[in-house]
Amino acid sequence: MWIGLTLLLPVVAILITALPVRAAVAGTAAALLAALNVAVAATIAVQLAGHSPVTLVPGWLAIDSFGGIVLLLETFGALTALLFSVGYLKSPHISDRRLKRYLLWLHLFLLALYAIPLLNELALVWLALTLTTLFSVFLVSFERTPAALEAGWKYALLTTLGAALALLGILLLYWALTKAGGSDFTWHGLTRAAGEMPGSIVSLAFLLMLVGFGTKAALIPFHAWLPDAYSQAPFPVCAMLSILESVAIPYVILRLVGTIGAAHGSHAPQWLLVFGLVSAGGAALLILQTREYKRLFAYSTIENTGIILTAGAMASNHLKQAALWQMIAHGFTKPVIFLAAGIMFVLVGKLRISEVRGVLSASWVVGSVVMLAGLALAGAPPFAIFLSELAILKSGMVGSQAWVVMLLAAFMIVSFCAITYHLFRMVLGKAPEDSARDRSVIAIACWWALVVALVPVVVLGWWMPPFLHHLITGGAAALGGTSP
Amino acid sequence: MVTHPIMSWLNAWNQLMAGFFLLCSFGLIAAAQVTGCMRFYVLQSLFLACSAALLGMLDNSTDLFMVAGIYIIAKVILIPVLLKRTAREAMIARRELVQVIGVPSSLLIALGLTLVAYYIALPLTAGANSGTRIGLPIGLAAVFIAAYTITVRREALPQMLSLLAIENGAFFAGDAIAPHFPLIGELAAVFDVLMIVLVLGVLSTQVHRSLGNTTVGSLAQLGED
Repeated sequence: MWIGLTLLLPVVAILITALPVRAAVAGTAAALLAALNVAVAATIAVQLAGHSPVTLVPGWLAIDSFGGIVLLLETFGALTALLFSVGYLKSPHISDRRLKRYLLWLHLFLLALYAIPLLNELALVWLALTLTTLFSVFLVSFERTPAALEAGWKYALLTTLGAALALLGILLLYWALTKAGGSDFTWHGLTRAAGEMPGSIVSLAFLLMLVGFGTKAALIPFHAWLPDAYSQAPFPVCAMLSILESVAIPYVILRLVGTIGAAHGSHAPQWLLVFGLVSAGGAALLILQTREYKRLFAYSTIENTGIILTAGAMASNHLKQAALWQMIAHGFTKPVIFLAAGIMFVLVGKLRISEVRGVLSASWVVGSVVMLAGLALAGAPPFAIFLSELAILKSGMVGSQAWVVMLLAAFMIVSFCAITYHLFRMVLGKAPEDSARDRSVIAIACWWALVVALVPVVVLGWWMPPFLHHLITGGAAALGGTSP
Repeated sequence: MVTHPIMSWLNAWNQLMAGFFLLCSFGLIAAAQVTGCMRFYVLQSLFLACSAALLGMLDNSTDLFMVAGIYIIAKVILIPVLLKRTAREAMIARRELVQVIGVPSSLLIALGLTLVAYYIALPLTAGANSGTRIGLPIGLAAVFIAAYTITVRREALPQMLSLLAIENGAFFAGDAIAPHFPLIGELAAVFDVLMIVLVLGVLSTQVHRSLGNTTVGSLAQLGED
């Protein structure tokens, strides 16, 4: 029943947006419904902890521990993004009609996003993933400037191209399934048939899906659309895109490796390892040389996705748990940094790092919030990402593949230094005269969104709720983690 | 393996459809105008539907007949109508399309891609029936050629039509290798195709209005600095 409610609430929000009400009303209602959905996802998560999967329609709609983590992160990100949108987009330049259209696309996007961890049939998981792109195209090109339209077009074209390649992979995987005598094209059915599936076909299928979904997740070298899309999209949209890339897509990819990695002669885990390492390393270098803070945080999303995929690709159960922990920590931290950056943008009106100076002296609240969020993202103690990265390093140093973890450690250090360097340049120093606007231009809803988003980042740095711990253990087991 | 005369006759027809299907991929590269691209896409979808129906007879799969019907309704009838509605201005603009690489060289590259597709597909189809041995390499070739076409085309609508052609290629291979693919999956893909046409059609019109043309390849204000 709870699963049905998760999908029903965005539909209600869509219906409310379609009614002839003012955009502010629709936005407030949407934020309330999103808060309700976080409660629903938390209820599901508590139910899942330590128990068997929650099922609504057997074989179609069911969720297990790993899915529970993903759903919780998605609904929470959506709540903060919606709350922030209500304040951020309240401007005399934006008509009520455009705002409502924005809300409509955002709800459709969320509906597809929530469906990903709930659906079991692989073809439908693919559809949900593809729809997240198509529904977010107009969110990316929301500003309607030539630059925004260009970014939207690139984003739509490249990610849909990825989806089409993944479709071929899905079809090939089904072929492998039928060759193994199976016909149940669900996660469960694939796990059962995996041992019998021909490795050569599974390998080709996985490679196509990795490239296809990897394009959507902007894994390096398929990230051509990302710098433009992030620099043009509104801040709350960036936050949601980050959740899609670092939570929902790694969920699908790790699930795939967990199920079909058992096929004889498939090299799925090894390929994933290479892709993950390249993305983590490449993104760390991109963070170093970027000139826009929106892109800086976008590259950090790729880096974290790379870390999650690398750790998740390794056989050790501890590393898989650490990968999920990293997914949770980053998934809760990313909205904070984009929302804080959004508030900073309202204050200073600039996107280039070199043009932003002395935010702290212009407004100490905004400055310290950006500083706090940036440090949390970079992986400084006492925040959640520090602990999860430490967990990855601790559990990976013991095995035979310690070199992988050493590389990851190097990438983490590079990105830590790069993020803090860029951050200090923007926050400290003297603010240029008459550049910053008054702090009162920042809407109250934006502050609320930021406060809500900060809660888990701070709490998880000190204390992990027991149900989350159970979800991580159960999720890692579902990914086929073996005890060392 | 196939002995019945009707079976071999159906197979021969399927091979013919596969040939025409691949030819349309080449046509998409060579077409000089948007409407030409559009015609080749519709033709290709028609051959895809014919092939699905023939495979349905060969494999005794009622699903594939339904799939053929779905292709005709969605790809041959609905998509042209939708495109003419959402992207009218860009559709009827009569001018030569620009390409990054010229047509003759592109056709040669496409030929090379076809060979690559055969090289990849043949080891996988060892021992399979003749439908699979034709469908998989041709489908793969169509996917590769269409992906290449996206990279060389500079205008919005030809890029989008090539994107749809990738999906055609995937399903040309898919109908052959997995004749009993769940119908819900086919429906999902067709729904996706229609959404692509709707969203990208509207977006290309917005680009057209804001820039006066749809040469998205020359939109290059955004770069990393």
